[in-house]
Amino acid sequence: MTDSNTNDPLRERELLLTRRRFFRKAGGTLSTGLGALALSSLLGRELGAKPGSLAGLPSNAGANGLPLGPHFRPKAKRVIYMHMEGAPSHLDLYDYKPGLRARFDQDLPESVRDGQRLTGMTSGQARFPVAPSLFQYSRYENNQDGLWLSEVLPHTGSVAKEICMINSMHTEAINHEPAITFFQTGNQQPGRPSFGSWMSYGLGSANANLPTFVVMITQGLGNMQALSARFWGSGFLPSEHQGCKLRSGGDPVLYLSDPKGVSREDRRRMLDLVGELNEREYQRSLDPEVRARISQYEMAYRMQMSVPELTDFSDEDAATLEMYGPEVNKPGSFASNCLMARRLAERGVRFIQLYMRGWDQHGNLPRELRAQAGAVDQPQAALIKDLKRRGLLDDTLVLWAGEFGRTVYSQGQLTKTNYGRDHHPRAFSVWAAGGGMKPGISYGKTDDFGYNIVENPVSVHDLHATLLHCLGFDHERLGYRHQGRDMRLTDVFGEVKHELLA
Amino acid sequence: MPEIDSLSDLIPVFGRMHPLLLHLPIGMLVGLALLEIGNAIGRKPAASTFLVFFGAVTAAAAAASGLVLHEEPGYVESRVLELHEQLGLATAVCALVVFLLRAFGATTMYRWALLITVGVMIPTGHFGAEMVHGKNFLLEPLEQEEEPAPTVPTPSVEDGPTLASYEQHVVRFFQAKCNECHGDRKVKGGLRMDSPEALLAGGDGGPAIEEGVAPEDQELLYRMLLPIDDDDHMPPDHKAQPNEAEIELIRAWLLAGAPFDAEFELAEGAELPVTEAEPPASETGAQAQAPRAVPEAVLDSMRERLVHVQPVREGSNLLWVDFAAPASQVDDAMVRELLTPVVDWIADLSLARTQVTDTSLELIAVMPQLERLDLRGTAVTTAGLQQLVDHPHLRELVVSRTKLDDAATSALQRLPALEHLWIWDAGLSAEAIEGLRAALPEVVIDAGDLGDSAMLETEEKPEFTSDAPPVDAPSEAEIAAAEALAQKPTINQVCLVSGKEIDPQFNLEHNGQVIGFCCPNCPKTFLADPDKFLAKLESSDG
Repeated sequence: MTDSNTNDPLRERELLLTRRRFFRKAGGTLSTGLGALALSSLLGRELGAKPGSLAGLPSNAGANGLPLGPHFRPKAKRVIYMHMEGAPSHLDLYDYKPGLRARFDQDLPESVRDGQRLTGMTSGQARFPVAPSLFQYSRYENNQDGLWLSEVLPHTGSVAKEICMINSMHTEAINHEPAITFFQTGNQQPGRPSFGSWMSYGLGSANANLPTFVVMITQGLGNMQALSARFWGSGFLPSEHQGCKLRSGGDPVLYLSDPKGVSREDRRRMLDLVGELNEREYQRSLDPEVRARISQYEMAYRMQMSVPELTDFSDEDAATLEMYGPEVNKPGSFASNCLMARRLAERGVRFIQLYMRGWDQHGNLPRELRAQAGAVDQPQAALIKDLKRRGLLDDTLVLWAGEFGRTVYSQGQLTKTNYGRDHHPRAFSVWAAGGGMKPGISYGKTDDFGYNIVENPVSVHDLHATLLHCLGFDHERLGYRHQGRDMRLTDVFGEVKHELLA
Repeated sequence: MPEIDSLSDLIPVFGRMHPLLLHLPIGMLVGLALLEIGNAIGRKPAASTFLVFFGAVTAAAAAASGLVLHEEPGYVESRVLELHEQLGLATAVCALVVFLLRAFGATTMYRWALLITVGVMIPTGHFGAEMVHGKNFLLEPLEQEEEPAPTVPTPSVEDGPTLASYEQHVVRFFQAKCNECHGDRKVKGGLRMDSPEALLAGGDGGPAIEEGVAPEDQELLYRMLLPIDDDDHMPPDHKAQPNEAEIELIRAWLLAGAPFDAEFELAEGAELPVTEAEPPASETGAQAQAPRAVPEAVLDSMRERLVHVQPVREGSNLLWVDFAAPASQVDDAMVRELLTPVVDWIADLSLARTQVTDTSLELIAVMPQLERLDLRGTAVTTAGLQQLVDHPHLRELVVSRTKLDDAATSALQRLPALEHLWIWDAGLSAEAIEGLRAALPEVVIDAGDLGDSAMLETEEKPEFTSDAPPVDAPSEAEIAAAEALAQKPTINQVCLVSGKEIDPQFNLEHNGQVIGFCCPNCPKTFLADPDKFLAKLESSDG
């Protein structure tokens, strides 16, 4: 490619200098505080379309100002990624192991565990008693011989025909922080760009009034772990690609509203004056960043209108609201966030990430898991149905995943009504729907204990490669040169699992 | 510092200074001529003799360096080169004559000679420039409109391998990226790439294509695949580089044995280079006439109005246009204004939740490449939909939450390419939708009315027992074998590891010998280093 910006070190340096200048100039006024950073992320959007603008590397811009677009014609234009923070138990939700019912309280055979390292939480346990799932399973019609789901997910069962269930996920990390980091960025060490940032970098925005990468968080009902903002950070990609967190209370985006006593007209007058001064500065310095800054202020002004409109559910009909369940009008609930996700998707937001906290059931699993599943079951099924009838499921990729699975053996005391489960990276279940993934199938198998994978293992890198494929990217080509090395979401790994594609 | 053995080593360097030297006499002699004309008309100051001398000397130097440069390999004898050389020599000679006339004070003759010199020099420069920049470099910008009708990318063909040929595709790639230096104007490295014979003949470094060599090892592809900063990388790093599709084209061509007359298959999933794509024979008319480059000013004006526009994929001219951002302010007039200039390129159009009406459907109906149309949540009615009838490429249509009625079914049945239809809450009755499903069995019709996935069965209420046999329990055969082993005599009487009494149930067969142990752990210790323990046995025996 003639305008290749990764092969020419001089060009690279030139672009980095541009970016550095941007931060020096903009840093003083805008990039103080998370909200302001988020704001600048919103504002940077249009820049990707203009080569040589203040975006570090004009990621998706060709020589003529057109974004280069994805590598091939994509099935999916956007992603809704529901991350179940804390790692839900695959054995109690998706991975049906009826054979375990006759092994209650037996010791986990040595040959199954096979020297597997344990977390500090159970490594001291004298024995590892098998804890069969307390929940009753039902089989739902899909495009194969049916999908077995636990009794806590009845609504999810009603969309079994849309679900592409993967029972053979495995990961490398055994603790939450590195495992979430790995799932989000393809590396256990912090510092790489999040999946959504890669999307933003590769595709740019489809709605200049809204952020490209939006994050929403629901507080859980079970044991919660920390959730740090770097999970949606942009790493070494220009910071405009980082996720923008929409808050559930007060202003959804910090520092977006006009201060008290400032009317929209006043704001307009102020922007006009600032624009005039900036224009004068541009005439003096001919620095294109000044013009970019003018347009950023304008976009913030537009967002003052677009964000309240986005978060106002009054235009939803009663039937739709009812579909998402009773909590839909409670800001920050999973139901509310699912509806918000649909609204963001239909407004062209590329990457919508919902975090549901509280899946870390080391103890009291039956009670906590029932509550957790109860909070997500109806909204997530409603989201799929709602997207589908609006013609959005076809090009929206929905992903449901925790960062790892949970052990078949009980952590702490095992009784016939209560048990806990420890972290388990060797096998767990995730599912996807829409966006080019094959609907109504199950893929991969674990052994009788749900402990080891016996068929079609899928690594996190494989999953990333497959999702990128749906989005029109060759995962080996979506890269960014950083510190002299071409970086990728899948690093040097990953294989597209074509069996999962529609 | 490069080593210089003798002055003759500097001669080629002098030759390469030709592009530098040649500009000096041009400016000097033209300037002198202007001064002399000014002096003749208006008594302005005359030129100094020194400058005339300088003009003559640099003209001579330019000509001499040009002759030296000609000796370098890579220049093809051509009429243009010949003319440039002869005129250049003439210019140098004339310039020297000018200086001599000036030096001897023959002012009138000097002035005439100077004009003649400039007159000879101008065509010299022209032919020289033609060698560097190509024929018609100067007037090219004026003639763009007369270029042959550019092509549009081939719509992706889902089934069957993609075929390519030397004549149709490989030659075009060579023309675009190689022939400037390996063709009839220059033959860098002694290699020409503008004919099959020349390719097979190769260059100074050997053949470009050899029989029976893997594609990546063929000089042709090997050089393209070298890192761009490698000295041997081709095309040179300051020239236009081949794109992925072009590299894959060459790879497939070489893999097929570099056929010059037969078609060859591209690798699975590979696509023809876009610039080389031909419109399919069946799709002529508006599509074939669509200019190749999307007018950039139009795209900018769309972006200014916050309309999202991007190619459907890298390198494609087909556009995805989405009005999501300004949706509530988008009306028919805005759509007409923004989309009219780009109707030929739109493949995927979303007007969802905008204020458009049936009026916009007139414009949409004439979008020849349109494949997906999203009208969700608009006031479009059956009358609007009827304008889309017989659209040749429309595959996906979203009309959820529009204002259609049952009459729309007849229009929907007249969309020959339709594959997927979303028609939830669009004003059609359940019977009409049923009728549509019956009439269009091949089309997926999503009306939000298909029921949930049924629950097929539910397991019995789980009962917990511990009855299952342990997984690690030995099989009957294993038990029998262990019993047999326990009966066999052992070579040792005390455990080799612990020195305690042996227990037959822990007997182990090792290299044909049965060894006894006291407990289940000692065999593991033994197996870690059998020789050590066996040596112990021997020494105790001895």
